This record gives sequence, C-alpha cells and structure tokens, in this order.
Amino acid sequence: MTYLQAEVGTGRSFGVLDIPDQHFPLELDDRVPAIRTLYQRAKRTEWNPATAIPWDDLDPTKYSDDVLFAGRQYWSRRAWSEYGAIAESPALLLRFTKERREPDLSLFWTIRTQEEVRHADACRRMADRLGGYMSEPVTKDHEGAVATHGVRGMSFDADTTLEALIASLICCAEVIAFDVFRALIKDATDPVAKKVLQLIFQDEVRHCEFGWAYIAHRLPNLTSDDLEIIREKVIWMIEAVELQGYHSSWLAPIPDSAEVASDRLVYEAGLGATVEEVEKPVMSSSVAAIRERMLTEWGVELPMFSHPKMGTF
Amino acid sequence: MTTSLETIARDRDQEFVLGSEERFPLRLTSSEAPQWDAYETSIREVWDPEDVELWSGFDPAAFSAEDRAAGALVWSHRAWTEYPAIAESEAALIRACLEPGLEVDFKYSLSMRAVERARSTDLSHMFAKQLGAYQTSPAGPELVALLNSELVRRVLHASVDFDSYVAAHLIAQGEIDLAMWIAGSEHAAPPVTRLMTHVINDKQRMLDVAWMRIENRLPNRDADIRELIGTTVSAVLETEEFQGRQVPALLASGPDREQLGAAYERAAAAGLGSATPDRQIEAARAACSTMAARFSKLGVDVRVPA
Repeated sequence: MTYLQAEVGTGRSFGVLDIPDQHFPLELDDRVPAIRTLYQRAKRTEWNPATAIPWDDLDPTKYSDDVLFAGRQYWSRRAWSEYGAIAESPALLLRFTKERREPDLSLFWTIRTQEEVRHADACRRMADRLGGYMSEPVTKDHEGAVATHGVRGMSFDADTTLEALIASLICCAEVIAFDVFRALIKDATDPVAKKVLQLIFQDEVRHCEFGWAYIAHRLPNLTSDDLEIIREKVIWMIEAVELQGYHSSWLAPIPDSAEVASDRLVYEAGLGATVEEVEKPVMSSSVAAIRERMLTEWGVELPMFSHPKMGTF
Repeated sequence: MTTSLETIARDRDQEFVLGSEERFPLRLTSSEAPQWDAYETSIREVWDPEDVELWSGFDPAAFSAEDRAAGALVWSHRAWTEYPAIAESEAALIRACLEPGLEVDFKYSLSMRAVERARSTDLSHMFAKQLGAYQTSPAGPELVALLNSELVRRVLHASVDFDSYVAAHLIAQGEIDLAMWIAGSEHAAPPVTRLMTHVINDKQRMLDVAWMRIENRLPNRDADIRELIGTTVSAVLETEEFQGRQVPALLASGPDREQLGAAYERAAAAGLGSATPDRQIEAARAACSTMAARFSKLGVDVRVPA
C-alpha cells in the first residue's frame, strides 16, 4: 500500500492532522492477516464488566479498614490508568487513517479502545466494592505522576514514525506492563480481584501481539535508518518513561513512599498490587526478552540499562 | 459563526489547535442513567457480521446477475460512508475526553460508535463481495470530495464548539444516515433485513445518546450558542447532506448520481437492502423535518433546504 505522510521537521505539533482526508480507493480486504485474525479473536471474546465478574463474592469484611482504603486507592489508580488509553490511544487510529495504513489496523483498534473502556469500568467497580472509587489522587501533587507519557501528542507528531511509536509504546512499554500483570494475577488471592485481572489480561495479550504483528508486516520495507529510529525510541521509552516510574512508582527518582506502602498492603492482602521485590526480576527479565526478540526478529540491538534500584540489566 | 469555525478547523495555513485536558477529578461513575443504559445495552447486544448464522437464508444465487451487480454497488457505497465514521468516532471520543467535566456515560457510549461503524463497514463490504464485487471508489470526484470531509479535524479543533459538533454531525448527519438504513431495509428480503436491523439498532442507540446530551445541555447554554448550533446544522444540511453525502439521490451531478441512482433503484426492487431514489429523498426530508421540529423545541432554528 502507498501511505501518506505529513511533512516532517515543520515544528507543527499536530502535523499528522494536516494530512488531507483521502479515503479512496478504500481497500477493505485483509492486508495484514495476523492483525485481521486478532480483530476476529477480539470480537469473539468480548465481556461485560457488569456480569462477567462475580462481584458478590467480594467480601469487604475480610479486610481491615487500612487495607480497604489502600485497595480503593490502588483500583482507582488502575481505573485512571485505563482511562488514559480511552482519552489518548484513539489518536493512534486517527494516525492509521490519516496515513492510509492498512484498514485492518483501524478495525482492530476500535475494539482495543472499547476494551480499555471495559477495563476502566471494571477497575472502578472494584474500587467501589472496596469502599468507593476515588476521582483524584489523595495528594494533589501526585496528579502529574499518574499522567500518561503523551500517546496523543506522539501520535499526531509527524516527526515520530508510526513504526517507532508502535515499537516503543506497544512492543516495549505494553509488553513490560503485560509481564508485570502476569505477576499480579499470580499473587492475587481474592477471587474477584483475580477475575478482573484475568479478564483484562486476556485483552492485553492481543494488544501486545498487535504491535509485533505490525512491525513484522512492515519489516521488509524498513530501512536501516528506520530501524535506528525505532531503536532510539525504544531506548527513550525504557530510560525516560519506564525507569522514571511510569508503571512502577518505586522506580521513580523520588518514589511516593505513601503509595509504595499502600500498594504493599494491597499486595499482602491478595487484592492485586505488586511490590518492588516482585516486580524487579519481572522487569529485568521482561526487558531481556524484549531485547532478545528485537535483535532476533528486527536486528535491533538494545543496550544494557542501569537504574539505582535495578542495577545494570 | 460556527460554520466559519469549522472552516478554521480545515485551514492548513494556521497551526492546528487541540484542547488541553484537565483529567482530574475523573468521574467514572454514572450520573446520566439513560446514557449509561445505552452503553450497557451496546455491550450486551454485540453482534458479528462474520457470524455465519446471521447470513442463513441469504443466497446470492437467487438474484439475477444484474440485481447482484446493482446490490454490490449499493453495498460498496454503504462501506464508503461507514468507514470514515470510524475515525470520526474515535476523534469525537478524544474530544469528549478533552471537554471539562463531561459525563463518563456519554464517553463510554461514544466509545461504542467506532466499534459499531467497524461492524457496519465489515457488513457492507461482505454484502458487496457476496453479491459479486466490492468497488473501492466512487466513480467521480464529487462524491469523493463529500466523503473526504475532514470530520476528524473539525471535531478535534478547539475552536469548534463540541455541542455544535454533536448537533450537526452526530445528530443531523446521524438522523439522515439512520433514515437511509431504515428506508433500505423496508422492502428487503428477510435475511437482509435481519442483518440491517443490527446496524439500525446500533445507530438508533447512538443517536438517542447524542440527543440526550443536547437536550440536557442546551437549556443551560446561551442564545448565541443556540444560534451557532442552528447555523452549523443548517450549513451541514445544505452544503453536505443535500449535496448527496449520504443520500445518493441528492447528488447534483457527476457519474455517481446516475450509476448509484440506477443501482439503488434496481437493488430496491430486488429486495437487496436499498431504497429507490424517490424513497431516499422522501425519507431524508422526513428525518430532517422531525429533527428540525425537535431542535426547535430547544430554541434552535434549523433550516432544511428546499
């Protein structure tokens, strides 16, 4: 397919939106079969937060007031994080359309956005069950910490290639989050918390597969310069986003000690959080697996990374 | 006034202006029960055009080659109008999230619109292929220009009032869209009607949500905004819809007017989910008349082109 591209280097913040609409010819046959298959799988596994989770099995009387409060905070934070994907990630679909990428991407992404709605809804319901969803951080100063890494802005930025976006956001950041999520499920003992996490996890599997499938599709047409841009963006994602505590607050330069302590209460109660000693090896092995896969499949060589709490990994 | 603001949204000489977001407090609990019900209904009433059961009884071989060719063009045309609405819907969702304090009920309902448009695009494409061949493009530049309508920029630009966008596009264009699907289903063969009913239900639900929002909001907005909305809706009807953006019988010129007119006429007679040109115009006018009356009750004056 011939893609449309916005002029680069113009300094315009939303250059991708300057691409004129050009829907025709509109090819609707599958062009990326692996992604069309993901779309079909997603359609077959839709679930309803109101009915797919045995909400009545959650017994708040089993938990202390401190644990319940920490649980409310944790699940509210999860809901905010899922909401970020509702408010920002649709920008990627706009990019697919503006650049006249394969329609398989847009079809899949519609369900992806809707899945994030289900996730936010389920997390809010969980917080409610624990005593009440919180609509903002307890400390106003922490609002910045739960902001996103700017998917919307990056998606509209013509200077960031779509392949670099997908590689960094999905094949890297989402894969790390996914691996941490697996640990979350393993350690959650509350049946309702576990069920919510499992349902979200089954959707996230597809979200990660989407990224690898699209880069695999594009790989034969990517130049060494394209791959270098991907490499730089992935490194940026790990160093400037992940290792600054985007997903794991204990990695932040100045960790929020109250949040870290609160998460520990939730983790120990089996209600769904993770803690530093659990996440550290997961994070390390996740990055190692990403490094190996990017080298093997794309020929992209990631360096070792360092962090005061992680060492060199 | 709004018309000029939507023009600004399309102007490449000026840098695009996107609104900024104040995410917190982030209210995720329902406060508009009917809109929340619509969201939950849309989750419950999921359907899949690839479900073979839904196609039972549909036998393309039962139609003549000429009827199939006409039907294939009609359904190709439907795919052309449905597909751009996928991106428009996701852009509208982003814009809704940038609007301060907008209820989660509307956002969640809106999140279903792109999924539903993906389904109706898929369905239209599948129909066209089953009937012979999907056509990838309109025949002439007139319809292409109407469908490349820059809705993404229009809904996202901070200068465009969001209620005005909802009224002009989600409601006015949505009413005409729904009217075309209903008119097409009226004399369709039973399996075709069954498939079209799923799309009609999806569209009706989203339209209801958009009306709920506007009817909740307008009593609290001043007269200038109501005038703005009236101007925008009227302009969209005059310069886009009554030029044939969704109603092929209203195309003023170009090869699509003739080709789609003949195809719709023939496919309607064959029961392939189409409406004759006369019926299209009648249905579009009736929808606009009802819509104008409903807007009038809100103090919004909508002019329906003669």
